Amino acid sequence: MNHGLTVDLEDPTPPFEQLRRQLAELIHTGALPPGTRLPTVRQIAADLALATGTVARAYRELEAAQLLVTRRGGGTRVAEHPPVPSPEELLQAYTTEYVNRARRLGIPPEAILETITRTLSQ
Amino acid sequence: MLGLSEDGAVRLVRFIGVLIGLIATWATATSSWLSLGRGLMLAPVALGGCIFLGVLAGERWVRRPSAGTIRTAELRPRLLRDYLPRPLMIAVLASAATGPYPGSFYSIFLAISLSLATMLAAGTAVRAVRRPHGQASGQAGTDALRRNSVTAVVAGLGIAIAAPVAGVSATMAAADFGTGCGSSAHYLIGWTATILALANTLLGVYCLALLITRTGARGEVPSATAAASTQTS
Repeated sequence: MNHGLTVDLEDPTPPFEQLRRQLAELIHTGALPPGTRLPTVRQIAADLALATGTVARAYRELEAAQLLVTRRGGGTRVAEHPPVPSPEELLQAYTTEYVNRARRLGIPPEAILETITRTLSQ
Repeated sequence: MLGLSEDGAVRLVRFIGVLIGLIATWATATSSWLSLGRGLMLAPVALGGCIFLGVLAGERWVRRPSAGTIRTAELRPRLLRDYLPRPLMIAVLASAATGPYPGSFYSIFLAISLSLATMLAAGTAVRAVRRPHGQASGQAGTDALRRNSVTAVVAGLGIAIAAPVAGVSATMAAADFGTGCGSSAHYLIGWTATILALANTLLGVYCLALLITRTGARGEVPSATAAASTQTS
């Protein structure tokens, strides 16, 4: 396992949400297989120079989504049977990500839509 | 720091720690209120303590996480046991477990000071493992630096433990052979103490040599780098 997490402080998306999304995607794509042990909240917080509460919130939300399991003394691990998102849910997540990125580049909504239409017709 | 690179600054801080340790060693060994050899016995512990402080200062204040708006974290849990030089750690633990008991006049002081030194060593090693990625190039480079720091801490602990045990064992062996009793039990105790003295002297010298030669805090330590890349793959 040689994956990493990246947080962009200039991104308007809150850091906890950036972490949550990246971890969810790594789990959904199988890059983080079931049972994989994750670092402690403190380790990630120290690496990213973020507050521990920020990382803890991302972990909590992933636990609520049944993607992570935390056991006392056993650390936090990827759930053995994480719920598989439907294609529609994945599409919505990717679209939201695309739109957010395009907005950060200052691209107007019409141009965003036009790019999708052009890409679909290719 | 003084225009030095991060590695250079860490080496300088560690070197200052060792220098202060040597002064503390001399001050402890010659202290008037640590009489009847207690100062001499505690001197290596003082040296070890200063070595830990030097490593801790390097990890805590010199190695700073990379600044910037885009930050990265690895998803591999970093555990202290993955960075420990295991054979050396086993040798140090064996030394601590087999040391002879020289009586409460000496042992209480030694136990208290070694407990404090061990806590400081553990805190320093944990700090080295937990610290974020610094200026070193790549994950393997950062891991090599962490391994280097933990090795320096274990070597310092080895000096703090093995040197007093060697001194106590040598004194015990000399006293035992000096009585001239000649019984087999005396021979057994005398030779055991002699072997312990020699083994702990060797361990202390090895730790000192390791501290000088292997823990230069350079980012590229071939064996450690290779081990780190094997672990992450």
